[in-house]
Amino acid sequence: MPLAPLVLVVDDDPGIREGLARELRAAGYTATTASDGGEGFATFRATNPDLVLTDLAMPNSDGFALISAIRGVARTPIVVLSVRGGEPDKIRALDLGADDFVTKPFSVGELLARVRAQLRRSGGEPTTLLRFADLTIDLERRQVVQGEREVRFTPTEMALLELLALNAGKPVTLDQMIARVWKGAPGTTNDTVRVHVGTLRRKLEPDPSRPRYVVSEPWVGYRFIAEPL
Amino acid sequence: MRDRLGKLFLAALTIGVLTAGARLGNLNEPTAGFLYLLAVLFLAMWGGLLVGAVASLLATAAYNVFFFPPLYTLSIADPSNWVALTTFLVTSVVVSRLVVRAREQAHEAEQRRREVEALAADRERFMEERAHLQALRESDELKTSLLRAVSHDLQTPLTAIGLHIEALRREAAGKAELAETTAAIAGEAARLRRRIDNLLTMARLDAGRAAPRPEPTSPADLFRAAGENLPLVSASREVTIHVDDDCPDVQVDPTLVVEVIVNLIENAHRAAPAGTAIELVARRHPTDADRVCLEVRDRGPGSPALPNAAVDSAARAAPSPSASAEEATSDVPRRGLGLEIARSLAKASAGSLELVERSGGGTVARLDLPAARLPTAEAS
Repeated sequence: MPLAPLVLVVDDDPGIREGLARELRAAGYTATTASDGGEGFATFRATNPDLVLTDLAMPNSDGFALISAIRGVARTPIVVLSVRGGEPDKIRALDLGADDFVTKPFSVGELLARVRAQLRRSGGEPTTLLRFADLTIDLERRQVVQGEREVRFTPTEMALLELLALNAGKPVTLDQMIARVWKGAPGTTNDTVRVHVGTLRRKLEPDPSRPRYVVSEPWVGYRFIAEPL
Repeated sequence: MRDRLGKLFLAALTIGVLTAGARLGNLNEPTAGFLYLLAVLFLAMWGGLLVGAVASLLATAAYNVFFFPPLYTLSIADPSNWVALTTFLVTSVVVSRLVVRAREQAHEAEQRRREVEALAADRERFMEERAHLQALRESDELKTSLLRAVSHDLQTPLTAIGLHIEALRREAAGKAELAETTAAIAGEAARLRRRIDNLLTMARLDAGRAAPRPEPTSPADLFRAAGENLPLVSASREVTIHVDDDCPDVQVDPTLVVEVIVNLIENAHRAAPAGTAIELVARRHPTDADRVCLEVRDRGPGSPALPNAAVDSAARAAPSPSASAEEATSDVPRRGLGLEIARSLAKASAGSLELVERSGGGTVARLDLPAARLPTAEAS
């Protein structure tokens, strides 16, 4: 029997901390806890967890400090617990190296889906063939098959899809998209990105009224959904 | 100009009258001289420098003609009288000037006093305004920090409650009654959470802390986010989504508009009979190319309490005679809060909300929002 993945939960509120640990254990993970960034990093060094779940606003040493400290030594997936309206904090956390965020108050199902997506990403070998529900992306042959149909994209759309799909389950910020797909070409704005994501979605999504692969993260960017919620 | 001529005329008249009086009273030369001097002084004080100067000249001439021999001519026999007359002229001119300057200085002093007074009043008003602004800023800061604290103190327990409900749900597996109670708690907790979200959003907008931040947003994303907020609704009835192919993105604050749509779906869910679908539709505005209509359509009893298109709180508050008594007492207030919030949030997003009767029965809640102006895609 494979060892259950270990998740480190860092939150200053005991109700949330213990509640999260209990739900993670119920879902088959092993959980350990800490109440601020400093204690979190000590526990991280001591236990070497497979994933870190951390609050941002904490007394003494906050979540940003913890992300920086962990990124100094490891690439362990980090999921941030954010609050409504905290988009600048989300972007800052992503820029510091966090992999994803959930917004309080979140549903347990949503949180577990994010945790699964991150663990899957960190475990997988780099590959050129990406498989999702009803969707196969062959990066080498630049071939995309959705359901039964082959979908053709412009080079820009293909580059966007590649970036998003390689980061499946992880939000990609608008700045990252401009830097990677447009190589930071002058005159490229957030609206340029939105327009191309729009055409990408119209071609990719079987029902554009109900996008199932690419969804927006308001003010942050876009996310490729690894598994439907 | 006329004013000045009048003054000069009056000055001449005064000198004339004075001369006639002095002649008739047989006054001697020095007395007449002092009287002329006095007259020039008053005339200068009253009429200014020009009047004073003209009066001086006239007085000198009259003094010469009527009091220095030979009388009734401008010529003067005694050289000492030349000295007297010249002295008189110089004195009267100097007196006029001094009087006028004194008058001007008094006037300036008065004006300066008024200016100083006005400045003092300005300063006082400025200080008052500054104190007022300071108080406002402090109250805003207080409001903001209070809001942040309240927000944190409400969201944290709600998140914890959500986690505990999960534990209960597992415990309830296979126990029908407990499962039902747990589901009810979950539903109510979710509603509480949405309402708190609404109120915090309104309070933030009100405090000016979170001005709406519009960005181009696809209607499909708004509908999806709203649906994720209402898992119980999507689980208990069909919710269809249709976005027209040519429907532009909207330029809105996504958080605000998702809250509006959530409230409208909640309303429709409460009003519509079980088994009927709720339809979410996005399309270009039929007449205005710069607007987009997002609609939430239900097959409920319609909105008899809202006979007019516009959502009007006064109209809504009145219970409808056609709705059942129970409906009117239990549903109207709840509908009211949700719709009121939806309308405020729509307004904050440069939009408007109207409820219209749906053909074939039911209600259409129509959200009218600004379209985003995105550049067209390159044809690569």
